[in-house]
Amino acid sequence: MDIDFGTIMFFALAIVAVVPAFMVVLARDIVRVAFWLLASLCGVAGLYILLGADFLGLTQVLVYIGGILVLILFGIMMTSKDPLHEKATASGKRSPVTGLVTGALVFAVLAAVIVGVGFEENKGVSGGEPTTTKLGEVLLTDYVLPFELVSVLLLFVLCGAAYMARRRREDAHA
Amino acid sequence: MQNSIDTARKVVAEGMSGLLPELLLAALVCVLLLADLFLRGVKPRATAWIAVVGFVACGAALVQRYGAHAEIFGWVQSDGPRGMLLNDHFAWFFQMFVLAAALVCVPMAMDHAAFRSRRMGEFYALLAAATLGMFLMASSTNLLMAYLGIEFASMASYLATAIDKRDRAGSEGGLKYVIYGSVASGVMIYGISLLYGMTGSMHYGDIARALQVHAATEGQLMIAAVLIFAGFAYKMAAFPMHFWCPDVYQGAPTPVTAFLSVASKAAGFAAFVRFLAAFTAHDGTFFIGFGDEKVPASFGWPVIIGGAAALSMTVGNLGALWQTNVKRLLAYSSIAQAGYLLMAVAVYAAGKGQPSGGDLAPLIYYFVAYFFMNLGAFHVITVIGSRTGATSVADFAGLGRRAPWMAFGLGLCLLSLLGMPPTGGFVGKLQLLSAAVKHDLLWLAILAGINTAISAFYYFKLLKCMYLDRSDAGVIRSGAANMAVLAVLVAPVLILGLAFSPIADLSRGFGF
Amino acid sequence: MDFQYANVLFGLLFGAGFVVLNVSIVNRILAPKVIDPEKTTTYECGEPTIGSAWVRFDMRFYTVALVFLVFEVEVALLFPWAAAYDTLTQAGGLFAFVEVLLFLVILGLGYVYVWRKGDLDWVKATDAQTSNETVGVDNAANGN
Repeated sequence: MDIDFGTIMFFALAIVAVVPAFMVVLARDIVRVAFWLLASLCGVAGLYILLGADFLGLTQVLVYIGGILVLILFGIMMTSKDPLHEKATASGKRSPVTGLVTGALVFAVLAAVIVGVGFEENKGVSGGEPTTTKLGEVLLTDYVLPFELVSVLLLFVLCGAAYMARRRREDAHA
Repeated sequence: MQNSIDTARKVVAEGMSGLLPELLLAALVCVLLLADLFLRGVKPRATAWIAVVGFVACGAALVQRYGAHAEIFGWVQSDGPRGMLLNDHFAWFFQMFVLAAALVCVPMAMDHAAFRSRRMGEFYALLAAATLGMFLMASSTNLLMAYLGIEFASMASYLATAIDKRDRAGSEGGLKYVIYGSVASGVMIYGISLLYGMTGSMHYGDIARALQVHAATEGQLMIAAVLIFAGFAYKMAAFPMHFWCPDVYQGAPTPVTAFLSVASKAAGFAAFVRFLAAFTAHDGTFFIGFGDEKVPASFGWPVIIGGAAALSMTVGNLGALWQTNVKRLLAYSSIAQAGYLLMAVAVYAAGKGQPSGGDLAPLIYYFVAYFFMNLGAFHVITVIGSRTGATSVADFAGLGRRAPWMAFGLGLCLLSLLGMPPTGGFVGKLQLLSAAVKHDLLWLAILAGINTAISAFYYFKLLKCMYLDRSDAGVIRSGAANMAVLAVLVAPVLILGLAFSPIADLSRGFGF
Repeated sequence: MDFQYANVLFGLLFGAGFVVLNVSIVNRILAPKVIDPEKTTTYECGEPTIGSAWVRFDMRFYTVALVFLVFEVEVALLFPWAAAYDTLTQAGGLFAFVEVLLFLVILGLGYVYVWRKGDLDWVKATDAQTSNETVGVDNAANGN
């Protein structure tokens, strides 16, 4: 393997993605877990951009880091009555062997498939160019039906989520 | 770019005319959500009636679509269209099936304690959204559409399960459903990305073409296919993705449980059978080897699906033996039923490898019977439950005297689920078994037979409770509307068991 | 493997370096080091702080975050449209515009819903105010 700039970047980002991911599993404080997750997601977003999937990287930053992670933190802060640093997770109480073996098996099988198949390069829309424009073009021509349907999906999920999050009147007055 | 825009315009213009039922459902979702906001001062049931009108309109549009065979939306390549949806007989059957289930659930919901005397625009909107998702699942010819349909149906189901916020069991069920569902969805989309990487397309036709020339080995492809199967199995509530089923079925309001156990399962099977057909070559031979080692399947789908079928029925039936909650019992029963239905899919997959080709008629017939017997059982449980609060098997003691017609209906449905003559379930199961034997799946047929014997224990436990156990509780008034629904659901169970040949003939028309 | 976002990376590193340099290093060199009790308080010239910062969050934050998340996904889907809009309109006129308009209108219904249901009301009505329009709808839907 020849060492070039891209390779160095890949390993740098891979470390940013993987090390915090380990910490997500190992950390015992749930708030720290959330922040390790933030770092890991940033690393994955960087990897997407490095691989030429700029739209995916953007979405990762926008939706996962800017939205879902904030939601997770709100969720933690909303549900805790005690000071947050006492919110320990359950990890560490059980034997890690089962998890390690399962994880290693899944990893081995998937890695074997991914390495073995030899995916053909550039089958998708990207030819190494920025993908956002091309995605926009196919999204509004070939994939217009899924595009419009997603708006209906988002609509009822929004209403349903608002319905679920809404407190009952009895609670609101308690 | 000019070309692709012109093509897209043409494709959209052609597609819109074939998409009327789906458009009506999408409009119904919007209307129901807004009706709750702007229709103030009207009776609580108004939204339910809007839903009924919407479903009936959709049904009329669907009837009009009967006989169509068109691949709509997507794009066009030199050798033909690459559609998102395929409107054909197979899709039509399952769409009608899902729509009918949704329509039956409306009166059940109107009668249910959780929804009575309230405006539940959100609930009916979710029901319409789930129906729309299942429509898409039934006609999808593209993994993206199948996935989108599954997400539609799943999201709406999660919310509908937890719709009664006062009910802790419902909230717990909804939470478990959404967590397991997210895992299943993630596993499935991982498999889709693998398959996309191997074949370069998500369109079923393209996948079938690519599989004939591509160098992926059997094992590699199998892993992708099994991961995708996990997503479909989740919707079917079949092994190995069945574990959510008891908690969700028990916790959800009974009308929602009924809808999930019938419509969601059917849509899962429909989408999976379509995906399975993508593994079929142009000339109809079923294969799983590639390149030089391409051979008609000996190992492959029939064994995998057959294994899932055998485990589903065994897990379901053994699990049901110890249940005391009626809805939980029926949840395990529905896992077992998914096993019988998967057996029909295994038979189809096995048939694909033989010159005769795959036969979907047993699957279709069993689904018709399943529709009536399962919805019938849940209808009785809803009616009795909302009047007496009955949840456990013991609560049904003396039902034969307290509500004779309801008890009779439930008894008939249970006998049908068990597979006793003279019911539709018996004929359906007989067709399944004979088809399995014909396609060299004798071991599966034997296992199904043993399982039927096991299932007799718990079905008869409930029957014994209704007719032999004494109870001093008073007579239950069910209401004329509920009796009418009961008659509509239970009469076909008998008809399907007695005058089965016309329906069996009809069911042959809904394959591919 | 080419890395076509080197300028972005450079900007990122430059920005991060600028912050680290100013806050940690230059500050340490230049700032006068006088420590007294007043300077160590959280707000040097403001209200004295009360209690812990670790308080239980209000549900309203969560509701707003949920609504925000859905609309954020919508915005993410609008990026490709915006990027491709020029080519699409030159080739097909208003086709792309109408599609996105439909997309936005459908999601706008969701906005109308949360607005009318009062999910975005920061100050919730009390008992005395239940005749208030939005809350009246809310109650009707929640079993009353």
